[in-house]
Amino acid sequence: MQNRNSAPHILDEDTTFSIMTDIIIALCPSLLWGFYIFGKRAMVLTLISVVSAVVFEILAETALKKKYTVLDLSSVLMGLLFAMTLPVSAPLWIAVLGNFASIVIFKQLLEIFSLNKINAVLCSRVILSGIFPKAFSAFTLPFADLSPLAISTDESALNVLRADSPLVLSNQGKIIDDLKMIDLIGGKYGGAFGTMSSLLLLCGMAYLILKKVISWEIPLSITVTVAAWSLIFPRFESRWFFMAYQLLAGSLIFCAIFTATDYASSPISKRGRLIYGVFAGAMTMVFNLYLGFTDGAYAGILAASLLSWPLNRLFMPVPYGGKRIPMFDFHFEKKEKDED
Amino acid sequence: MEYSFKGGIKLNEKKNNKANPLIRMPAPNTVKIPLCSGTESFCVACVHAGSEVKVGTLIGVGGENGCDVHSSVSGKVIAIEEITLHSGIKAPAVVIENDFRESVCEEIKPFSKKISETDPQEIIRIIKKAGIIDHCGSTMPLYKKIDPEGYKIKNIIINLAESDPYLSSRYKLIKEYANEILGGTKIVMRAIATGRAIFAVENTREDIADAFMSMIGDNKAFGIKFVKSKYPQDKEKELILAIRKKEIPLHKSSKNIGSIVLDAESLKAVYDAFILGMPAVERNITVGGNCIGEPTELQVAIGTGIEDIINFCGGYKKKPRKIICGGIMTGYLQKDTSTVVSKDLSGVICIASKPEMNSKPRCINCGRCVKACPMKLMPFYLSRFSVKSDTESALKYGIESCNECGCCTYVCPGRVDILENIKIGKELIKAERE
Repeated sequence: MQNRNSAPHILDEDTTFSIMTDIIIALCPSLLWGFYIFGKRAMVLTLISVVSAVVFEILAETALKKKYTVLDLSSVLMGLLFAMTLPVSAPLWIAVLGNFASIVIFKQLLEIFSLNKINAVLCSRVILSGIFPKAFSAFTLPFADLSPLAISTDESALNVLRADSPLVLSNQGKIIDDLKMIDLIGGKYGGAFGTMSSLLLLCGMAYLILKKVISWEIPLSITVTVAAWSLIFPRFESRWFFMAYQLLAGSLIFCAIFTATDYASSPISKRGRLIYGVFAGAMTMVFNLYLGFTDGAYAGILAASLLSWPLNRLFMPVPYGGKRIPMFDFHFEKKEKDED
Repeated sequence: MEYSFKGGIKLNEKKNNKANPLIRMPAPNTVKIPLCSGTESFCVACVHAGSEVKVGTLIGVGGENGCDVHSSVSGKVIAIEEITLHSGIKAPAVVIENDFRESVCEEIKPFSKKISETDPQEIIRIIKKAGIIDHCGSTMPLYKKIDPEGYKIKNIIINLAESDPYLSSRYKLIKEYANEILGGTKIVMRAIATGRAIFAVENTREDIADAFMSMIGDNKAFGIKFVKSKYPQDKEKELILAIRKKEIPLHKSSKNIGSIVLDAESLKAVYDAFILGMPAVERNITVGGNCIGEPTELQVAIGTGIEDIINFCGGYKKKPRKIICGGIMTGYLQKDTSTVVSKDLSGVICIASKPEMNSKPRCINCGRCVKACPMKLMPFYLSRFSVKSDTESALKYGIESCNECGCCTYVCPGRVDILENIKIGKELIKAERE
């Protein structure tokens, strides 16, 4: 750390490290609730995920001869996010494989070709859930007794302790009769262990908005779009129940707050963010209802992030006293290896 | 009703909040008066070693485009030597030994005619002879700034805001000399032949607004508008954006859209030049920061050494990590205290902050610099283009509109030195044009 020798001579206190720390703090309430509901195996999965994320980042940066960026906690955050989207019965090797895909392939290698404008965690999760569907969708009952250190949960235990995801059933039009609304809101149903409690996730969102880490446009536009779509085209008799199932069961709120607002893959301008959120919500509903995904939020937000570069170019501000910048301007987009 | 512009940043104020008025610092044993006015061309000395000078004697002639320089003490000229100014430029300076008699030069006389019967050209000639410079944005001589150049000037905007978090001398000056500032405004309005003057006051400074409102009364030629106190509200382009809601075209001055922005120090100096006959020989600075024994606002003679000023304010309380001349957001870092007060120095700040920079700066695409930029630019793109020497793209993305306020570098969490990269880019463009 050294002093600045040119103007300005004071700097704001926020650094990359403090932003990542704030996001991790905002994730903690929901993470701890997941540990409480689903037991020790959830803690083991999280630990393996975070450690493998850090190890892969060190290995990749050594192999590519780049400066080490482990200390700004971005890889710790990616490992944590990936773990929280897993069901607790997931095999332990999927945490390692998922972090290899997200850090080595989708973050470091794509950064060389300057294509790193997608969210690496979402990309690796979507692709792996296509290759190993059972690992990502074998949900179990809350407070079920699963062995923490077993490499993969065996079939008999899964059959006994299986819980159907309310989201999957609601996509097919079936309501779960004995699921009380308080359990749905509070977070006691079958699903990924980090995305359970919508209340605690919203507390995290309030903390992040107060600290000015994220802004309200993206989470609001995604949830409003999903809510509106489910009210207009319901699959239950009561449209309000259908909207509650679509919003609260599954990882929509988690993704809208923590993965859709990722700086690299979301637009910068306010209007761009609102359009991106509406598109992400619409694609989520399409994947859920018409393409039979278990949890369409991941793929929906990933599809919307393909729009974020055009939205950035469309809503660029006009410089003071100057002319509008042309929308398509390809010759500069290639970044050099170390741009700083 | 508050006027403002989009962008900018809110800074925590660290001003001196004691209610003392400006303290007059007696001139030290020797003064070294620089023979230039800020960054303009140098003057030619018209005294030599051994000449006797008094307060207000002409010691440097500015020529066609420059500003005259006058002595701020009475005494004997020791030498004419080269010194380093606070901005790093080396300039010639007249070293005068103070005889502490403070005798005023015989040619200093108050202006005899009434202002309302004076020809505008005569007013501009007297302002040129008094060596007054402009303090709002550039350091050009004031007579050049108020020359209408053929445009129709609708109004003048007087900057009574001070948005740097460590400076407070302008506020004390306005509180004490409100009458003189209004007088200077009337003189300048006669010189430009304009009918309206707008005073821009920060919304937290209601005492200044009350003082001016009671002086103006019902006069329709003057108006007061409140501006939001955020950084960098006190710069010329942002004031015009806030009050006139118009943008100045590139490479043109504000006279193009019919406004001229002046500030309080220049107007008080104009008043002094007419009512007392005294040219610009002293100025007001803020001495602040958490390392100074007694931070205060001073009225100092031009040419006073920084070392003498710090000793006058109680010396160091703590060892400073940084000594800055100017404001804290746009000032120059000094290696030592050997420089002197020139006409464009606004403050001496000594702080003992912790180190801020990272050894691995990295852009994380958060977009905070875009939100903070008052000129509606995208600083992360400009920084990237400048580092890669891509001047064509930098020009297309508006690097010439950059005001160098430093908002982007202040907010960047990745600790990229955006302002330094943009300055390098501008130097490359200037070199390419030659």
